[in-house]
Amino acid sequence: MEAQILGMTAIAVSLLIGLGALGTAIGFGILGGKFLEGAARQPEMIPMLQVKMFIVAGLLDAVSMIGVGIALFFTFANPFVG
Amino acid sequence: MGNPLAAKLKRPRILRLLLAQLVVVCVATGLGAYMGGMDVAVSALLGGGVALLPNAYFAWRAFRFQGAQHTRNIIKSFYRAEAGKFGLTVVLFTLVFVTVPPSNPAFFFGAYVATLFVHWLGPWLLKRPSRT
Repeated sequence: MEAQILGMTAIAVSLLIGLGALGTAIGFGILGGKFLEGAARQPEMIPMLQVKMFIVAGLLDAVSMIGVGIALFFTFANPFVG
Repeated sequence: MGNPLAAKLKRPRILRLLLAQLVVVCVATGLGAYMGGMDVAVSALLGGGVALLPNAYFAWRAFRFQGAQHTRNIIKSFYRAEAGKFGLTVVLFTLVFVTVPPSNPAFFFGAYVATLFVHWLGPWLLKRPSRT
């Protein structure tokens, strides 16, 4: 039973970290592309766009970072194994 | 002789955001000490620290370049900052769970999430006062 729980936890951890990284990567790709578009159209707006990008980046990766934290918690201190 | 345009660019107020995060870490630690004693306070402090350090690295790395002539460098710097933040978060979580496992995971993750969500105040904290 314990081996099964550990196996399922390993799958869950890999999904949490992998999908979190994938989502963040897609979001950052779109964010960077839009920044380049905006910078090409209005170069004088670059400082403002940079700050906006920083704010959105923080919002973008917050949830996946929480997922990474929970995944590592399950890895090192699995609460499902008595 | 430096770039004359670079001298005119105002630095964004990123430090205010980091200070706000530091305040949240201190409040969470104080709350932990009040509610559960020293062990819980250490858990909250570790949770806040795990969120704060990668964020500080991200802010430092993301704003290394400024100005229209550095557009590509800005993007590269942002991508490296995000990769570094992700890696640093994984390393810090691993370090904490291996060396000093938090006695109170709820406070640990609570402080972590609270510190991360200070970013939601970003539009307000990074706003420049209008001159009119």
